[in-house]
Amino acid sequence: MALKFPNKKFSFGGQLGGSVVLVALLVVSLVTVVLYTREGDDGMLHGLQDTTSAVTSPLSTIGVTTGSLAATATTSVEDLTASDASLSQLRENNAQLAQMVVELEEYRQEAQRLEAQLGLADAYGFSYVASRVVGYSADSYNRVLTIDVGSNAGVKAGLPVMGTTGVVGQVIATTPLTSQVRLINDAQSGVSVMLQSSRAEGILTGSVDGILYLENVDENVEVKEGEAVITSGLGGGYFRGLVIGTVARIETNQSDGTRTIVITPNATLSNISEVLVVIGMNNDGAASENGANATALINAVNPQTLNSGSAQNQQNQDQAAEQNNADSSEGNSDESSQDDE
Amino acid sequence: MRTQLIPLIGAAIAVVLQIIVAPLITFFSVVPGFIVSYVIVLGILRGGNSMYWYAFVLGMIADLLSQTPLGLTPFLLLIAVFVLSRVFEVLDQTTPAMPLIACVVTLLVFEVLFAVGLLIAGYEGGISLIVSRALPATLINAIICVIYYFLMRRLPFERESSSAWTISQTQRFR
Repeated sequence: MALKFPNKKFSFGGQLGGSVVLVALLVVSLVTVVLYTREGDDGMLHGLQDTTSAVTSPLSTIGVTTGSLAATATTSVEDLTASDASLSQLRENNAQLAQMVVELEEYRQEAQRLEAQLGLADAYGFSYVASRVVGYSADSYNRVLTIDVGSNAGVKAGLPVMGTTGVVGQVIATTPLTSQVRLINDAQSGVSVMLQSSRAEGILTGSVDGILYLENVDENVEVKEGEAVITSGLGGGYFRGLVIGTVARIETNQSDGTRTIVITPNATLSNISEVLVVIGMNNDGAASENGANATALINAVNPQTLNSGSAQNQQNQDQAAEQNNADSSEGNSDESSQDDE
Repeated sequence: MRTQLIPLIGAAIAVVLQIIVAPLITFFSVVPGFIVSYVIVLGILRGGNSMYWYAFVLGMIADLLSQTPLGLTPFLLLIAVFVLSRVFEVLDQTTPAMPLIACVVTLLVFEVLFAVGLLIAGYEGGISLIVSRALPATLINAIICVIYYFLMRRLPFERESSSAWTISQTQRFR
């Protein structure tokens, strides 16, 4: 093969060294891609990626912490600059106060988030492992978090992960000290769910744009806006009865009659700092056969209710927790009577 | 020695930026590619056989830091570096215009092929993977390439000649 220019001929090949290196590296890369796509999630190359993520998590933590502080600082500085012009002689004091405000604001926000998470755990009555987010996805094609708990803390792949106000994703891989969590709005994510009132089942999928869609719902089922969407527990992983969100809108395609159901998640899926990995749940949560219990729980884990932190909210959560305990003890007694029989 | 050490230090900085800074400055949910942009700019400024090793090692690191198929980034970067080093043996590099145009075109082709590679590997998303990811990624990485280019063109890189497919040094096409 040769390139021909007027009065010039350039040969393909050149010295052997460069060609051999290029071809060899291309072959190694291609073989690696093929091996990676063919091996399972527990494969060696996937394990290598997870280990790299664990090793780099201390560095990622610097970024996450800095980002969080910067966001808080921006708000505080904006607030302070209004009075700064007229009080120029106090600028030095203001700078010190601004630093304190940033730190206090950070603690306040963290306390608020943790309070909401505790409310969520109380309402569901699940057992959990609390953790911090130490890294965000370093590529554009996956919405994956790295958290600072791993198999040493009892975390394993498939377990659901809750944010401040609801389900945020699922553990996809673990190392002894860290875990990878794929968010529910990732295009590769799929959760088996059902509609709370009609019990119609479907698959909740994420998308490239981060929007949640409910698919595979029977065409004959009537779906209403505002209806709660809860995990069905089918396929393992997600425990039955966790509230994912509500039906935001239903778009019907005029040409073929198919419908697209868009879901608003209860959880905030951006700027996540702390999460709970659910490791056990001994009741049916919002999927309880008792409609009153299910409704009470759905109200208790509503994002607005969780964030308000009011006494009424505490009562709702206590009520939901009591009803869940009653459900679980009923279930246990049923199981023991079945064992007796 | 100095001309060989500088690209290595630059590579280390690009990796640290990718780990710490990149996840924080997302643009339309697109994470900037400090490593990919660095390899492309280095390929234009430096060229030579050693660039294949930079493309391979840094590409592997980029894949290890993310959740994308291991090997896809180095594979595409190797092709990009090979084409760029050949092209810049005949293209004018005395003004920034041609290198920057080459950067943008290379990034666009890289991102689109990357998205196609992911679709072949079984990723969900279809055409929106290209529209919502590849195009914004090209834009943000092009900005990083511009910054890299103006910073790195002041550094003493020794432009090497690649032996994989050598086009004779000639002024004919300049």
